[in-house]
Amino acid sequence: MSSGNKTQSYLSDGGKKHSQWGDIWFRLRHNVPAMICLGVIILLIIVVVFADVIAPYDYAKMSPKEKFMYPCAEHWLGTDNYGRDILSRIIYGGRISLLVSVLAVVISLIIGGFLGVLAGYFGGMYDNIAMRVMDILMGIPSFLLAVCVSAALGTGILNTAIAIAVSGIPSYARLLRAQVMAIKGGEYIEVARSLGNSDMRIILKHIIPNVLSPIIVQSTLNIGAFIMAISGLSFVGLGVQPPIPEWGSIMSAGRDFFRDFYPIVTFPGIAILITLVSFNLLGDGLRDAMDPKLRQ
Amino acid sequence: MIRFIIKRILLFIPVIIGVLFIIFTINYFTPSDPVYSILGSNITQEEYQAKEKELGLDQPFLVQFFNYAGKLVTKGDMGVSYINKRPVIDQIWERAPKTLLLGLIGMCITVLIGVPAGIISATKQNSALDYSVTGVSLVFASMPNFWLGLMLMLIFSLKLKWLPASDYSTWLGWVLPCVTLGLGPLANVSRITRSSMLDVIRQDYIRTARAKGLTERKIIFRHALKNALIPVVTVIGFMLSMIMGGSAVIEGIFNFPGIGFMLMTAISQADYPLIMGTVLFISIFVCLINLLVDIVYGFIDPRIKALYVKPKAPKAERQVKAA
Repeated sequence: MSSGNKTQSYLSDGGKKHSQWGDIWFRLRHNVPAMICLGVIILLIIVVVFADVIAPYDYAKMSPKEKFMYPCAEHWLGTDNYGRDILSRIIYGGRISLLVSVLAVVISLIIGGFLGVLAGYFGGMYDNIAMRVMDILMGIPSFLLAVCVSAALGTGILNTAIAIAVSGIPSYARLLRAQVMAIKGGEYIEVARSLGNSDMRIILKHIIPNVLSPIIVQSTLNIGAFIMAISGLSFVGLGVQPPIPEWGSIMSAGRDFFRDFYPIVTFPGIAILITLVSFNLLGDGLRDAMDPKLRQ
Repeated sequence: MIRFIIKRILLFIPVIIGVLFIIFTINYFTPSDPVYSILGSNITQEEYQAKEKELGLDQPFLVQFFNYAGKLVTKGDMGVSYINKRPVIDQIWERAPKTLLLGLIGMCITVLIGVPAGIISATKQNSALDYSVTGVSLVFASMPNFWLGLMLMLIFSLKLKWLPASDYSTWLGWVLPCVTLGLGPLANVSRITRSSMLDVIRQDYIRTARAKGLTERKIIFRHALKNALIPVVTVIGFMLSMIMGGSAVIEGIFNFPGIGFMLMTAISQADYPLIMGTVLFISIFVCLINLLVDIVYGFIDPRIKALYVKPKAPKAERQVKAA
């Protein structure tokens, strides 16, 4: 009954028409934690995009006199073993972490989404083969799969993104397959088909728009998860290499001095923690906003 | 039920072959040349070709794959480490038990904390307790496990000196690596327990139990929990996959003498046979546990069992048939 009242309240809202996305925004706006997290993420994006202006120091500038400084007024988060400002390195590192993560999400979405939509739509033999391949990929722990691919491809931004993306493919393929299977039996799909639309057109015009919301939720969660995986790869010496600051590689470099000097390892970790909590809570908020039935 | 088990085992074989194929393929494309890695770069053309022939590297890709798979299945041979020239499989057998034990203890910690946390969250839904359980597990899920490990090490062994760092002669040394591994997937377990418990609590039979006047404790433990735990069992395989994947980095941090530490060393030395062997070994172990979980799941969930067990015909029908 309560959901009925709520619907009523949208409709009676000055008689304004609400689009589907407007409704989602309406529900998301009332989710305080998710909105705070959205704010944090937007702030993070602004900071890393305008890092050149915002970062207090050049991330590569070494000053031997200022080695191993604890947090103070000039260096808010201290300096590392070369006297480089840790805060600036974290800001520039965030740029790389976010960039690689988004790149990996795009790659795995394209490949996994393609496989999943086709498997769900055409079914049969194709579905069987695609899903068995996904079973196999999921049989290898995702971090180890990324380690193997990264060891084979070598380090660097694009190679790291590919290594992480490979381990993310099965999640998209399975999600989209399930979604497409659920909606392809709908009457409007049948109508579209009986009107003589090609399979390609049905998929692009009628199926894809209807699976956008789970894709958005999954991608939000994946950006966070991938940031963590990338930092893990960089930490073990694969992934992004030390001269380029990345959250994992900063920690990896600071590990040797960790026993006596904590800031180099501690602060990038806190940056990851804040970023991941934000992406996770925003992802949950989006899920609730896009599918209010699921909310408990 | 036997049909169900046999079907699961038959499905398991192609997955293992596929895992082997994928890891082999990735390894095939690594930039390093095995001949140079074994003999060093100071060799003549003849020596190079002789070694290449000996290793079978002059064969086509698929032939090489079947050779590798054949050796692995018949002799358990995974090749020889480039660095210390010892058979990979021997090194794995020496160190694997410790890693597997570490992973299993980590998983027990996850389950022992995660399930009760989920139950508390569900029974006290939307209370301060519920929010703090959800919040704490979210925080643990949002930090890289190696960072958590380093922080725990900093606090408990370097500052407070309560626990030794990388001394595994007593059980005290195991505490930090096990706890680090166990805390990561905590959020998964507590969240799934919570939502599955919430589903179950709303069922009619729970209302009936309550209407009968049973105590809350009896309702939760005797009626709700049994059904709520079924979905939790399904994620155990996935959790173990996360834990075993993560154990490599954690072992590296804590200098734990397992195969994960060996893998980290192998990565830094570009010792590809060792990398491949270790990843393969861990993957097969994870797949085996998944198989076991699937079979157990079939036993505890009557709905799955019903798919595979032929229902007995009603008595009257049997009598008609007999006649």
